[in-house]
Amino acid sequence: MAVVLTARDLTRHYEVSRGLFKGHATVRALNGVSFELEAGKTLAVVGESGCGKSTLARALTLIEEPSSGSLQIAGQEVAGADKAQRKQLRKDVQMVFQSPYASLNPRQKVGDQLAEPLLINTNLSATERRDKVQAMMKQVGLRPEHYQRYPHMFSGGQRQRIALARAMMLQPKVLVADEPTSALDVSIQAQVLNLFMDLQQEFNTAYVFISHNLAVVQHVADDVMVMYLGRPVELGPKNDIYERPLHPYTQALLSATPTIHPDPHKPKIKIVGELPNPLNPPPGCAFHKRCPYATERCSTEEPLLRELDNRQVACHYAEQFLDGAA
Amino acid sequence: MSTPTSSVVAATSAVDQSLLYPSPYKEFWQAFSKNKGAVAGLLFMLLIIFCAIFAPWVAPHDPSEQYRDFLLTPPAWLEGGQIQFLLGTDELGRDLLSRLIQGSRLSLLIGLSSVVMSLIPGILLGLFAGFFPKMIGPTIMRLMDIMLALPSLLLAVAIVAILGPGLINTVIAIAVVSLPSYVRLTRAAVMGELNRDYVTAARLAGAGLPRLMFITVLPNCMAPLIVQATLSFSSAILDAAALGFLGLGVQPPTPEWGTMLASARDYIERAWWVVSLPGLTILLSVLAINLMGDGLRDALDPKLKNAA
Repeated sequence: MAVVLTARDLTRHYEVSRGLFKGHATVRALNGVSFELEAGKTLAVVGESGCGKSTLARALTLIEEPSSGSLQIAGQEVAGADKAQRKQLRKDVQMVFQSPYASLNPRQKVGDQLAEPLLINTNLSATERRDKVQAMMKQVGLRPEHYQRYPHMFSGGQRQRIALARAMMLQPKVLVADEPTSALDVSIQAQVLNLFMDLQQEFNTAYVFISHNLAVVQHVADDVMVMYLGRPVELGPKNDIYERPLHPYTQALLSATPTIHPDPHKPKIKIVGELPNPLNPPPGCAFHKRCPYATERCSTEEPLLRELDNRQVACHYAEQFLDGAA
Repeated sequence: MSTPTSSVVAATSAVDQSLLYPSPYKEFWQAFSKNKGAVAGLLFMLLIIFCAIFAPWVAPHDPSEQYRDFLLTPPAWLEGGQIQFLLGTDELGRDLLSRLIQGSRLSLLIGLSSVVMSLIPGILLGLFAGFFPKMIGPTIMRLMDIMLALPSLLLAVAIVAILGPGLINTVIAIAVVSLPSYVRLTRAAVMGELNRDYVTAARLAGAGLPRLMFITVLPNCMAPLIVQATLSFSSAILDAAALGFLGLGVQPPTPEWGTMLASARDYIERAWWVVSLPGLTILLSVLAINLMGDGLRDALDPKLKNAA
């Protein structure tokens, strides 16, 4: 069980201009995220829009430098890596995007797009590249004659499989998937998810799976990280979190998941209002303005992530939920 | 049960063929030849190019020879026309057909070379402006704004005045004047494409800057550039005529379509053919090039090709 991805206190701040005379403001899009990910495991990152999921994806895939904190991929520290090390790291982390319609180059044939990572990163000959591409296409369920077609000739599900094949061409150690199924038909989603899981078994890749669909997360994840306003509020094994969520935000998210047979004894937790302005986050617990259990303490003292019941949770009153549920 | 098996058999036998890309030229021609207008444009341009290359052999007369007895002879099919002067003669008795044929040499040269000379630097500047929006981009764009702020003909005149009159300097002046539109078009298209996920995906695959610029992004920006290039071909010929009219471009005895058009305007009431025929020639070649450009744009756009 080798740890392939370690994030320590990862932050990403953006300077935004507020107009001519006001000076700059700082958006803390990612505010201290730490986790470890083992090979072959899936970490699902859950949260509503604007909570920093996509910023996390961009930081993990080295598209953006984190403002502070440390990121280790396969034991290699990203910050301060030289050019050759960076090139190696680049190969180790790949990404699948949300929209399969925007993530494939419309002017390049599928075969060329799949061969591009090999062309750049390896010294294989044209024939070897073509064989590898063919093998990968077969693995993701594309027919050989799809090789010379253009992306617009494919359906959304097929395109997402092409995108996945492209990401897996270099056999990365970590694959970041940013809501890979949310743009797809429900009927196709399961197919694509199963393909993700098949490939994970085959290559023993670690997945960071970003989603706001909790049903999808339950299907694929080993660990779950719930984020709110750039911070993880609960991080732990999927089963523990789904059975007994300890943070009020997780509880609200889970109770908002539609089910066929709703449990009448389980009250629906409604959260009111919207995500606070990240330019001006509330003092204390970021969630206290929307939390049904908030007290005086929540608005002044910021809860830190702490170990409790086989997971990490950031709530002052998590023990009470644990006792109450037990 | 028989249908799936037969399709499987068909698929396996098709494998070997489908693994190979069809030759890109063949593929391009297939798409291009579907567009009848584009093929017609291509044929007309081939005719003009043939005339330009073999002008001394194709032209019935010497383009500078003045037949003093036949001033302003109408075309052969009109009353008073002479069969030896098929399209009539101009105010100095020179054969119009020969001058048009000979003139295609210079006109094509001016049109093509000024388009190429502004297209290539324009695309490069636009790519850099789009890829580096912090420092290089604004610098390039402000320079282009300065050039756009001056009336284009005035700027061309100024450039020719500095460089000295002559054919090559005319071409350079026209190229410089039409540069800003290419830069702006390219930059706008590049900035639009750079935010798309496929560019990020290419970056993740490890693509370097040249690869991102020319293989990933540029092909997706070509459509407006091709249209602009075909349109500016015609304006290049007309600008060259304007410069020639001011005495800064091609000098009078040399036949050139734009100059012929400009110098014959005094006779527009007495002898319409002296003005109309060069004008018609410019119109037709511009039309042919625009049709070709449209066909080229469509043939290069995979979305408009039918599924294989």
